[in-house]
Amino acid sequence: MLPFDVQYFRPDSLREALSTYEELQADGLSPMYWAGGTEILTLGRTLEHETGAVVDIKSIPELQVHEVADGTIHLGAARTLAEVCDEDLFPLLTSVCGRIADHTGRCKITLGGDIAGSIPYREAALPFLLTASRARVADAGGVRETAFGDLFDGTLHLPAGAILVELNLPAADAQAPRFHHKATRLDWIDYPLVTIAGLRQGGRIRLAFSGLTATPLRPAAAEDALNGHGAPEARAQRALEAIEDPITEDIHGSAAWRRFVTAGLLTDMIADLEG
Amino acid sequence: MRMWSLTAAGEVDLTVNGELRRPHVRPADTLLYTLRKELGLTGAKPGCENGDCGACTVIVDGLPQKSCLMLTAEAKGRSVTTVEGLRGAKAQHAFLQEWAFQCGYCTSGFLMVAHALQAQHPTADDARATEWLRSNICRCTGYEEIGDAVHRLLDDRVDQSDSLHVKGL
Repeated sequence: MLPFDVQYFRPDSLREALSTYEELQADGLSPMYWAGGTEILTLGRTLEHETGAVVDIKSIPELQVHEVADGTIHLGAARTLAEVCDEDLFPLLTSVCGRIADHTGRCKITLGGDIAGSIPYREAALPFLLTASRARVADAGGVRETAFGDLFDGTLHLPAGAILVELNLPAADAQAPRFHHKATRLDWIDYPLVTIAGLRQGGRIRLAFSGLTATPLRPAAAEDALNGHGAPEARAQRALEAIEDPITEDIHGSAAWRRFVTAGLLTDMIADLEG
Repeated sequence: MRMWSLTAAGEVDLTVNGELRRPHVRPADTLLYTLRKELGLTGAKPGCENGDCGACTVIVDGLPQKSCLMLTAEAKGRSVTTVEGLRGAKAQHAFLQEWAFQCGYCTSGFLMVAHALQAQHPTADDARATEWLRSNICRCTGYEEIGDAVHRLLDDRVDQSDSLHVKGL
């Protein structure tokens, strides 16, 4: 259980959720939106997260959307990762989400929770970084739509009290040839040593990483280098050298090991997407 | 309709094993805590209490859930099944027939995953079964027998005439 007192609210509409959050904030309860809630519970248990109130938003219909309409895939932010995988509207996302946590965990963790959470890997964001994805966000001014890349630079930036409602993308983008591999230190279920996701569109490979640097990224210079001329191994090496962010060095692996593994994965990706 | 909330400790209507129960719940309580301490259903085991081990797995609306990762308040309006609610399900016979337990601490969690898997995907292939079972840890490392039991369950080779009591003990 959470080692502090908390109040629980379950609104049925966006308007109710936003006003409840605002009232709780005004009351000094530092509220948090709750969807899967796994991160708040696990980090709350060790007092890394503290809140006086949670606003459970997963019953709100707009956050449960999952459909293809007018050539656009709509995915509600409160769809669980297991649902995203079963529905399989976006095969690269299916592949990426299918390697986050374990199956039972994926029955609770939500798409929006993985992307908006404080645990830095946010692997579910990778497929959206590679496509013309947009995010619908609700705040006191209503619901607005923004390019996903304008809100997410490794961390999702939302105004206080705003709600990530859904992510959407052109259905055609979802059918592009894809590559995904998650390398872990040892176990199948673990945070990534390196997760790499790629799509081939317009004759170019797009790539994004999680685990390689402090937060997920789609490195433009590395992408240019990867799409240059030469043998796959050389292109992979140049792409790796073009990444400006520091390579992570932690308990999962040294920076040198991450570089070595990533070079191999990039070579595999070129072979897979251009072969 | 006014939104439902739980702002202080109080009684909450829960459907557990097909019965309406009304435990006393703090908003910060996990489902695991309420099942064990308030309802006396000790089949869900506290292990890591961090969502890693799966010993506390129950079934909520047909899907496995780690009860340490769910607030009791979240379970209001949903159908919760614990191992006590299986009442001689095929999964239990399959585990008995394959001796798919050693110390037994993880067994109820594995049973709930196996039962939900069979209900949701009765013709699940090896890949799906493995993926679901990866959610749970057996510290005795009895994975071979657990896998055999799940294969027996999915292959519909379970003899339900067996007594669930282990003979001779």
